Parts: sequence; structure tokens; C-alpha cells
Amino acid sequence: MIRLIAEVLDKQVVDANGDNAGRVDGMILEVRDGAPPRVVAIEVSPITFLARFSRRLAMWYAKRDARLGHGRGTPYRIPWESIQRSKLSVVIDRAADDTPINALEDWLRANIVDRLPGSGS
Amino acid sequence: MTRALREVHVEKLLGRRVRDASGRVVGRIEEIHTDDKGVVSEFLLGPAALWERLGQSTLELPFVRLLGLQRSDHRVPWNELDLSDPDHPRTTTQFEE
Amino acid sequence: MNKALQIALGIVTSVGGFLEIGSITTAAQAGAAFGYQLVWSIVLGTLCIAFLVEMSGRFSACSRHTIPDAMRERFGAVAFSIPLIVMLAVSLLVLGAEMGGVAAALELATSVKLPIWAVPVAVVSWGLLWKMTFSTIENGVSGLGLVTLVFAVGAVKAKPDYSSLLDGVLPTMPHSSPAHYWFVAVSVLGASVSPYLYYFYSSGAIEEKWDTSYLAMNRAVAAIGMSFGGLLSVAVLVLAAVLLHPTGQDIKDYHDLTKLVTPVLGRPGFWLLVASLGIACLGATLEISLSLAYLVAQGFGWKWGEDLEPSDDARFSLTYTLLIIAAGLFVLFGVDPLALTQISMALTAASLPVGVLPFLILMNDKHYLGEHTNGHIGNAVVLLISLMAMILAVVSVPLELIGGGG
Repeated sequence: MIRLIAEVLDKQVVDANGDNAGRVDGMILEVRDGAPPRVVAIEVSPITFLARFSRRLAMWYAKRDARLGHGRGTPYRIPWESIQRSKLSVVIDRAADDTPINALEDWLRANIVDRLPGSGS
Repeated sequence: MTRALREVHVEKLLGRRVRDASGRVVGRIEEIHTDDKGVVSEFLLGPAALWERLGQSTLELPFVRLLGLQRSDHRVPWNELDLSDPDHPRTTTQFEE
Repeated sequence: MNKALQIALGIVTSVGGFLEIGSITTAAQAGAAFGYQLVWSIVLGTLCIAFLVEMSGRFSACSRHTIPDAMRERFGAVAFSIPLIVMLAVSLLVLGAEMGGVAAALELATSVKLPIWAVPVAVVSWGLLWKMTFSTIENGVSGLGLVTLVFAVGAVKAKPDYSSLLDGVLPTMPHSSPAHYWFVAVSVLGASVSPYLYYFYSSGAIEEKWDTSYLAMNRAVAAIGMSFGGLLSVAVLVLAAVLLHPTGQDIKDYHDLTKLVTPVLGRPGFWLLVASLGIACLGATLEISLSLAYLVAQGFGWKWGEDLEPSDDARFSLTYTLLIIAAGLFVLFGVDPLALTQISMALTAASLPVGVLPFLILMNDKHYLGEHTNGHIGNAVVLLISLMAMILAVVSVPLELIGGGG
């Protein structure tokens, strides 16, 4: 038995390389007539995070994120079948660098951090 | 006939007030139990109020009991919770104390 | 390294890293205004932080989570954001005061004015965080921080009235200026019980890969290290009580801090004070910046770690960079470090329960700690002192402001 709120929501997400890849900001339930609801995906995204405070804030962020490139501006979803739960974290089957999860991290690294001396790039 | 399919955010359900068929408040959604495949078996309702997450285990803390807070875990099987309006979930049965 | 050596190192780090501008100035003001009467506030504050530090280490060693990580996981995004925002806001002010302390030490040493030191202090602090590893910073700067033992030496040389000192261990009602008395007591509490400290400690335990075999060592270091650190605060109070109180002098300006040492230790004392202030405040600057960066990075699930190269944890590194820049602005614009210290200590005291209450809930949660959850005494001590600090702050700060500072 899985307790969604206590054991999955807001848990640390770790990618296939063992690196931190955000947190479970949200989960999607598919609600069907005549059949039990089913978790289909987790969402890792600042948009989802902000939506828990204010829908307006989330939409503002989504609009600014969308300008950053194609496919952006919507929360990133990982199918339920692609994740494994461990005691400390939720492990996904892909590298964070291959997903939008690290988009901001990569941009900051390339444009600011690596331009400063001694950053170890 | 196609089955109606709706997407509901779990984190939005958390803390939502649930009413019974007659409109009486049963409690707030504190937890959702599923099997390993993510199929929901039941919803746990409690007095959670503004501390949506504190529900279950906080009531096990020594000093909280002194405040006289009662734990109540009403388990609502999946088929007894109507999520057609996710902002206002309702139980399909009359709630008995 | 065997456990005995690790305990010794831990104690050295705790003692060397204990004092900073908050504890120095509040203890000095307490001694100057009220003699030995407020020793109890240092005792209570030290007791509370000792418990919190031990709990913090135990929490991380058992649960393998840092406190911010567990808080986001356990309380959720919305509830977590409350302590997050409060701690960021209050700790940023404290950070500004600490950087001001380093700049003040440099001004005392060179007579070059404070605001000019804002950029050098920020750049050096940032550079140390950027290049150094966690243990180098912790052990190196705190090791140097042992220079603050000068206060203990000075206090003994000042030949205090030890029986009056002991009398001060028990709380007494003020004989005069009650509003100022409670305000200073609250400032001492806010200076001793710094949330950034025990939050930082939990990340340190994870950086150093603690497990349950470290529990006994953790208890020893917390108890002994914090106690000796607290004694250093008492030493500062004693110096003020002996040298300033009889003539009604007070610490109104950081230049007044030199009056604590030069009468008993002469010219060498002056330089040791400057070194103490500078190193202690630099250590605190590094710790607070890291602590807040940990808080943000862990709360959002970013990659983090002081032992990583900045290139590997860009958001974490840029967070502490931005914090240092923001706090450095206080120094750049010439904000008086003493005034900033007083405000930030009072705010820390007033907001203590916001960080402490969720932490206590975690400390009693078997899911994280198994059989190592808190005992009743630990819960009671921390809860009562934090609530007391908050109530005193809410009551005494307005009175102090109305009274114009006793």
C-alpha cells in the first residue's frame, strides 16, 4: 500500500545517475467513471509548485518559461510506471540533464557560473 | 459509450473539505492510499484543517494530545467519493458519526 | 581519525565558532547595563542551543535527511514556505550584521572607514565559499576562532566578583530600567539560539556522512562544545561588568568594544580583540550564507554540497552568492552594525517558534528517528525557552522603542 501524500508528494527526486532532480511538486490522478482513480504521473516543475500557492502566480511563471523555448511553459511530467520509490527518494529512469528539470541549472552554469574564475568547469 | 476521463491534481485534493450526500462536512482529505500500480483504494479524511499535512502522525506527538485534539480517520473507499467536481468532493453515502 | 579525536575537533570547532557579533555585543551590553544580573539569559540561551544542536545532529544521523529536506517532505510546499521565508528574511539581516562585524574589525585595525570594506569582505567571503570544501571552512575558520579565548583570559585577569557572578545564574527581577532589562535579555536569547546554526548543523552532518554510530560523539560535542562556547559569552559579560558597569558606560558603538580588553590586556589585547571580532564574524558570515543556501536548495530539491565544484551545483552556488551581495549592501550603505545586530537579534528571538516548532515535530516522528526520538526533557526545554523568547520579544521590543533605549 502506498500513501501518496506521506510517501510520494514533495519527496526528493533522484535521476538515473543518482543526482538530485527536484522534488515531486505534484501528481496527476486520472479519474474514470466506474473505475478507481489511478495515479498516472508525477510533476516536477516550479509551475506546479507555484500553483499550490496561487494559480495566477503559476500562470505568470508559465508564460515567462514558455518564452525560453519550444516545449517549455508546461509542467514536466514523468509517468508513474517510470518511477521507483526508495526510502529516501523517488528515482526516475532518466538523466535530469535530458529533461527540462535542469534547464535553469544548465543555463546558469553556462552563462554565469562557468564564466567566474575557479568554478571547476 | 466513452468513459469520462478527468485529470485531478493530488496536491490540490489535499486538504479539501469533503461533504456527505446531505451537505454535512465529513472532514478534509488527508491521505490517499493506492496499490503499487497507483490505483486508488481509499481516501483518508481527518480534522486536518489548516495543517493539512500534520494530521496523522502529529497526533501521535506527546504534547499535542494534551491540547485535546482527537484523531479521526474516516476511510472512504474510492467508489464512495465523487470527484466530478474536484474542488468540492462529496461522499456518495450519508455519513454516520 | 578515531572518535576521541573527532570529539576533540568537534569541541574546538564549536568553541571557536561560538562567538559572533550578536553574542559579543549582547553579552557586553548585558554586562555594561546590569552587571552580573543577566548571566541567566546566557545560560538559558546556551542550554537551548545545545539541545537544538544535539537534536539536529541526531536527526540527520538517524534519518539521513537534512532538516530542510525533511521539512519540505513532511509538511509540504505551502507549510514549508513559512519558515523558509521567515528564516531567509531574518537571517539575511543577521548576515548583514556579521559582514558589518568583519568590516568593523577592519576599520578598527586600519582606520579605513567601514563602507569601503563592504566589497572586500563580500569578495573574500564569497571566494572562500566558492573554492573551499566544507571541512576546510568548518575546521579552518573555527580553529582560527579560538582567538576568541582572549575574552576568557581577559575575564580572569579582570578579577571578577565570582560570587556575584554565580548569583547571576539564577533569573532575578530587574532593580531598574525593566524594559531595557528584558530587551537585553531577549537580545541575548536571540543571539544564542540562532536557527541558522542548527539548520546548518544538520546539513553538515550529511556532508560529513554521519550515521547512528555518531550519536554519542554528537551528544558529547553538543554538550561540551556549546557549554564552553557559552562560557566565552559569559566572559564577555564579565569584562563589561567589571570594566564598564561601575562607571555607567555602555556599548553604544563597535569602537566601544575595545574598552573590554585594553584595560586588562593592553595593546596586545586590542589586536586580539580585532582578530576575534573579524574571525568570529567571518565564520558566522560563511555559516549563515551556507545555511540559507542549503535551506533553499534542499527545499527545492536542487543539487547541493559545499564539497562540490560550483559548476556542479550552479543554483546552490549562486544562492549564497546572491545572499552575500544582498547582505553586503547593508555594509556598503553604511548601516551601523550594532544597530543592525540589535534589530536582528530581537527579530530572531521573536521568530524562534516558527523554526523550532516544525523541527520539534520532526524530532518526535518515529518515521525519521526510529527509537531515537526526543525525550520529554528535550522537548520541554526547547519549547519553553523558544516560547519565552518570543513572548519576551513581543512585549519588550515595543517598550524599549517607546522608552528610547533605557
